[in-house]
Amino acid sequence: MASAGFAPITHTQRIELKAIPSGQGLEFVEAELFLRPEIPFAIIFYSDNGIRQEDGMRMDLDKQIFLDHFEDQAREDIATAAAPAILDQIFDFFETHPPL
Amino acid sequence: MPMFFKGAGRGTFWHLRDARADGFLPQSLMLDSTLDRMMQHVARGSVHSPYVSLSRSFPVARAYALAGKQRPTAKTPAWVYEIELSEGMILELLDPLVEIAKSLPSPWDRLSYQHDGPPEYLASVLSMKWNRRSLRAPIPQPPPGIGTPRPPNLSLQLETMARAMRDAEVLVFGSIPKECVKARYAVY
Repeated sequence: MASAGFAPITHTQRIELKAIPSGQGLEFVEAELFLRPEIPFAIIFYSDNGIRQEDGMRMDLDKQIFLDHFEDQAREDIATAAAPAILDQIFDFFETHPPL
Repeated sequence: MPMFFKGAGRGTFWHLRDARADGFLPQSLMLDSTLDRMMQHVARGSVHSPYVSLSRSFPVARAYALAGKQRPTAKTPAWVYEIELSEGMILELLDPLVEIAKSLPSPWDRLSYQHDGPPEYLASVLSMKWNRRSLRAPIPQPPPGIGTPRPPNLSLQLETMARAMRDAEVLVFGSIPKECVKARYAVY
């Protein structure tokens, strides 16, 4: 199936996440941010027992929730607890970086 | 017949599984449809939900598709599904705004769904990225202007309506047969 003809995404930036609550082997390390206003999401990357995971977790910045979840409740609780600190660092970034 | 769209980012369920072959299923098919579940689904992303979210807007579905668990590329794109539904099918199509509006309190009621913030408050709710500060700012109080500082009220009803409007969102209660999935477009 052909592409719908839109330009590739070029306006993203990754930021390092610092001192995010962690546990159960999970550590949230990086966020990929869309600098264009029409994409209200971020992708949060994490390591699992020290191994960086290829898949990130989608976060809705308006709803301030993860769109992806862990099946294990203890891990899900860690992600839920980490979300406010992750959002703080993302919004701190946007406050100093106007939309493209 | 109205046309709807659904984005599937790389690594997500409907990217790994081809809805043209299987149709769409909600996460919890056996649950009843209630207003509270609908609001939790739209505003809170509840995983225990009997609904499938669709959008009237291709750009909204595309935004969801582009923000997958991995970045899409020309070789490994994300998908936007095109879905056509018709009346008389064995499914229920719900507009969250219409359903919530039926439940809103009278304007005589002391408790309102409406906010009590400044004029730009709703725009901040709709788009948080560059507006967090205004969401948290204490609201000016009527004269004499004293009282405990607090941000504006944001009811779950108003928040849900804002989220549904952002996404031009409609909900299907039940499953969507594969015959309704008319196309799948690559986006990256």
